[in-house]
Amino acid sequence: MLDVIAGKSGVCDRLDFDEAKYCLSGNSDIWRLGRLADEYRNRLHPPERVTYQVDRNINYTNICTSGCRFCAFSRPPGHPEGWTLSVDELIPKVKENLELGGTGILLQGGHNPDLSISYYIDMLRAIKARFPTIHIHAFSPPEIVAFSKFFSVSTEDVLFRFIEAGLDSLPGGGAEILVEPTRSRIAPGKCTGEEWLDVMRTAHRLGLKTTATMVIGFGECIDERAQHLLKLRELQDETGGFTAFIPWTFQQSKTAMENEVEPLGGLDYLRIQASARLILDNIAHHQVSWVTQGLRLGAVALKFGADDFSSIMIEENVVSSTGAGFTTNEVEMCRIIQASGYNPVKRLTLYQNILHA
Amino acid sequence: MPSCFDEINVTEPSLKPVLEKVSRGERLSRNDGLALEHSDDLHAICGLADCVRKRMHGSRVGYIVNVHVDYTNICSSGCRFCAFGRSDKDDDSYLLNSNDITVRIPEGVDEIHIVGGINPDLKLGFFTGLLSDLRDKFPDAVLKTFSAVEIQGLARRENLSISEVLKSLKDAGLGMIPGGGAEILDPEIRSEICPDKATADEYIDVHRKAHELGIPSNTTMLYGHIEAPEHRIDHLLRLRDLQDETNGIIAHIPLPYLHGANELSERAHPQSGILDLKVMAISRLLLDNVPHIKSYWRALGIRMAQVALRAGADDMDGTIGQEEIMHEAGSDAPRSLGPDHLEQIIKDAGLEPYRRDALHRPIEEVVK
Repeated sequence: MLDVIAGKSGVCDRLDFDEAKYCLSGNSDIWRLGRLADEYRNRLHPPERVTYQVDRNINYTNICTSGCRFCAFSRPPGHPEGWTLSVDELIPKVKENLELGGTGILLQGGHNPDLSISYYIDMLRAIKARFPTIHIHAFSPPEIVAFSKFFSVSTEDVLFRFIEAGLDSLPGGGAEILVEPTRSRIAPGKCTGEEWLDVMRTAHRLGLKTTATMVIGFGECIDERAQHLLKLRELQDETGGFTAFIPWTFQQSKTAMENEVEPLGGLDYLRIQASARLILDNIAHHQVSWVTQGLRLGAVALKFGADDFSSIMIEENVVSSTGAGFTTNEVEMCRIIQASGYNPVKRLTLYQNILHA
Repeated sequence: MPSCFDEINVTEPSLKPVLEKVSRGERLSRNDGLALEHSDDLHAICGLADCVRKRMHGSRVGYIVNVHVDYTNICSSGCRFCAFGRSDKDDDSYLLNSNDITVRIPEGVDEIHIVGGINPDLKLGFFTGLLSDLRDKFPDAVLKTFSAVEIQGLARRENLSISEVLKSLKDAGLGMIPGGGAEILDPEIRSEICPDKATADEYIDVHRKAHELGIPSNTTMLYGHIEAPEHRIDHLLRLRDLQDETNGIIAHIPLPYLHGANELSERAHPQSGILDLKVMAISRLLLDNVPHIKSYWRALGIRMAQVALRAGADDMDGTIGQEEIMHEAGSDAPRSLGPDHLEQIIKDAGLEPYRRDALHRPIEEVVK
């Protein structure tokens, strides 16, 4: 079947559901699959270029009502280890990020029922007032849905007010697996897959660009992985609002699911990276998840369809709370990209400074 | 039915003759090795090594229930890539006696892997005493102990020949020599990274003498520091020549230099898994006379080690237990893995695990 898939050129001649499943299954040869993804990536982007970003992940609260079973970061309301950053605590983190060469911040947090909408509005305004050039990439769809419920306003109104206050784009977090039955099993308190897609559709309509993500390794089946990717492709056909896609494997350590599922290996990660490039033919950039997979495997993913090494992530709290987070700096990341045979190019959050082939 | 090799699509002309030679089962030359090293075609190189592994071993991948004990961190070598060695004056230096070591070894292991620093205070009696104690207490385990560098150091301190030391160790229970201490078998590179260690010739000589006495061994190569591709190829060819001569090498183990708390990191090759996979694949392709290539998860990390099973390796090493050397060098991998976990990693690569002994003989068919 890889011969058939190799003959397809994407967009007008794209992979169907069965072909997507074949790529995602263990039956397809990993090196031939990787080669196809690499060739497709090289048709879309200069083969020698790998982009990366310098930004900081800032988590404003770990208090969360979702209770997702895969999460080691959040604490329920009332828990003694719960915390929320004030705007005054956030500002120095943004300042430090700029001093370290950061061009954007990724701002995400738990679904904290004790915060009012003015907390978020004030936070966005304060950051933009102090640092007008910084790109604010903030609030994944599950947060937007939770705010809409907490504040009894539509998700569109939440987004509209945030845009007015300085929001520049939305991160694609919280997608996990968008499909049932897995989603209800792992994240019963989180927004549904359809709600996630709806927030993205609305955001794109309001002119916001967003990224998209996928996490595998919750014990979901291949059908669900294929459906997740096809749902993203369908929405992208409709809106064109996704700038990048980032897949990774579930880090189960210290989570409620630790003893429930076997950890996925490096081959599973390379397979999802390559399959996603071939299936998601309409999302331009595919990022490596070195923070979950390590720098060594991250570099290999550049040969499996990825064209972007993600961000150096000056601060990262969510993955590292599983004990599995890796760290790097800009110099090391550039050296790894070069040693892997590519030219590193520093980009902005939405690739605004990157010319497309 | 097309063969595995027919499926490989080589994009670089320089690799075409290599592909043809490998598919016909012919030996690769130094130039072929260099062509592989200088190629960017990771998919073809790894795919080729995967085909060779399949031709040699089918879908079977070995692992062992074993334990590592590092008996001393006191070491006079001062290798610049090492974060484990200490001077005897350091507060955290240690030396384990035979009793300390035996209590660390669980029942039921099939291999006991013991290595340590070049500790100037230790005489032959320490090593033979330890081996005979272990043989008494763990008669079913293969004692895979003391790298060539430790044996060479011991012979020098005792003013004995290598063969004399090896005979005494074998009589006391030594079953096999682990592969450590090879680093890069090139005098210039050694003078920079491990000037006070046994030389390349001495390393090869200990293995040759061991093979002559019927003691099999593993070999290693530490890459990713300051060596050039030529050094890696010449290292592998040197091992291939020795194997032609003695046929005593059971497994070869590529070891990535880890950028931990040691002096070389700033000058070293960046930590790209692309190099890890190329070295694994080239090791399989060049060492056509060495039966097994090992993906040492303790150094590579579990994820990369699994990918390496599709880049020429046919073995995952073992459960290991407490291990200090890679840990101190900054390895992210856990110190120990259970047999079930190792089997799962192998199965998830689409391969069939079998539990083996130190000589890679199947202990029982564990393929489920």
